Amino acid sequence: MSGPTWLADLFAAVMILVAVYSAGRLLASWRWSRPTHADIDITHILMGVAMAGMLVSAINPIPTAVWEFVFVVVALWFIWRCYGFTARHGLSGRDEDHVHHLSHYVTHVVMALAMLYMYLAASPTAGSSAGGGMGMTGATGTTTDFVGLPLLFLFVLLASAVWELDGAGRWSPSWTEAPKPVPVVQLAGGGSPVRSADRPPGLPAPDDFDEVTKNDPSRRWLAPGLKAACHIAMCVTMGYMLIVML
Amino acid sequence: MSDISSALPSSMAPRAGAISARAWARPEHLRKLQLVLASIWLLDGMLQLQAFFFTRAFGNQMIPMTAAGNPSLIASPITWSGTLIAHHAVLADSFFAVFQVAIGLGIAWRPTTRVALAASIVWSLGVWWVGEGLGGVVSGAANPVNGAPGAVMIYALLAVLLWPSDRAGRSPSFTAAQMVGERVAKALWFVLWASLAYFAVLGENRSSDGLSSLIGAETTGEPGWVASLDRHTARLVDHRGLVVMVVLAVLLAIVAVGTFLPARVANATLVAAIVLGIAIWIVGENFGALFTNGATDVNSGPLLVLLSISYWRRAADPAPEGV
Repeated sequence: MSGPTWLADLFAAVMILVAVYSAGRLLASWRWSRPTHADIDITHILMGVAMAGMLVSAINPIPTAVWEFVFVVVALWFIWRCYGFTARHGLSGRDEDHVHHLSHYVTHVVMALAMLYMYLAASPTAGSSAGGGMGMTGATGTTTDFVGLPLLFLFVLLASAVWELDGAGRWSPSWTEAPKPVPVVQLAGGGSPVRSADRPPGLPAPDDFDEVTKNDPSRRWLAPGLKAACHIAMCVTMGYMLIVML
Repeated sequence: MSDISSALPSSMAPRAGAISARAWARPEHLRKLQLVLASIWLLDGMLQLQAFFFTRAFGNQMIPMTAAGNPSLIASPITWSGTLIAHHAVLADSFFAVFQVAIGLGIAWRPTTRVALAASIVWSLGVWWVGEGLGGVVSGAANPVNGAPGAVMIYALLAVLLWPSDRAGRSPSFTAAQMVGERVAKALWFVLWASLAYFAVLGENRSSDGLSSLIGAETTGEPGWVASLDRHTARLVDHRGLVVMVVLAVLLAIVAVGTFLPARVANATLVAAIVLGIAIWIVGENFGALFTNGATDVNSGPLLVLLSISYWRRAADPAPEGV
């Protein structure tokens, strides 16, 4: 069972874009000394390239066995990050940047495991690339007995995409356009207003933030909204691949 | 899951322990339910991307099946649509998929939530006719065990009940009443569940082996363990169809009237509704037939659960201290 070729090509193109953007993001953060989550960006590069290779076997650069090893390592890394997060902040706390929750790392564990599942479940395509590529096929062998697992991955990924999109409003420029006479910051998307007095010392005032960043060349490239868009694109693409393999 | 810190120069980057981004308000209960609905729509859109739906068989075989038993006034547009879809299979299915994905993402993105919910109502009504043959309501084939009166009707109902409401001063005892008010919300709940109770004992559903045949026929295309579950269940209810369906009808009727009872009892009936929704989804709907590569949606089970949660009675807010 496989989907239409043009659709696989389309998703593969999107994944390559995500991988290129994530690589550029890493480069930009190094060039302009901006703190980023390098592990997330590296993971997005790996997953972007791997998924593009699964969708279009001709562009798979490395053998399946290597990918399997890579995603075992990625899964273990994020499990370790989950453990570290829980130890420092508890189950319901937030990361040092006060944006990320435990779910951020759990989602990446699920993404890595989903990648691993897809490599284990899909049968290699005959005549695939020298890299040992594989086309998108239905699940085979014993993995067909575990159809509940991809379904679970699918639910988590799509919920994560939706959750990410819901939070996208917080990166909207409208945040800086709160009415000046009123000392509140209106959260974009209808969130609760935050009074200026409640703003923590580490965070610039909206106008200051705008002033500081408007001429910054890294601003657009490192925009959190773009990163969120990449995450959504990856979740949707991975969701499609899992559905094809159900 | 994105970081604002990366957009700041390192001199302004947050120190550990300092709040670096706008405090993000967690979605309130209504919003959470909307997001679950958005996830389901997104899943439906993704399901529409399965290879089968890009073939002529979708329009030639699957769609016309829903016309069976319906009067010609209802059946003719279904047949016509099926032919049209078959002739433009790729274009039609691409549109169906993109539209449903757009609804899911639209609900999730706050500026477009209302537009997406409105679009979902229109879409649901169209699909209820063309894709589900009005859920077998007119043809007499409706059976709550396999999704009657049609999952898409519950999508439409949820869109109405979960419509964003910013009416000041309104604090209903359950989320579903936020937009339409408690009286209307309770009436809608009653109509839905009472109709399910009615359909349970309608026509063929009362026969002693009707339920067994229905479940037994669902094994096609399912993985081994789901097919095995079906066969066991079919054997269990064989020749007991009438009794099982009468019991089911009574339970559904209790759930229907439960919404008018005091909060604690109402919540107990909501638990029963959730259990029934899950049972129907597993046994009657085979997890929405998601494993067959031919499912267009998750079917009614998860939607009944989501609907039940939206009717959950909240505990009354405690009076402020000193009052």
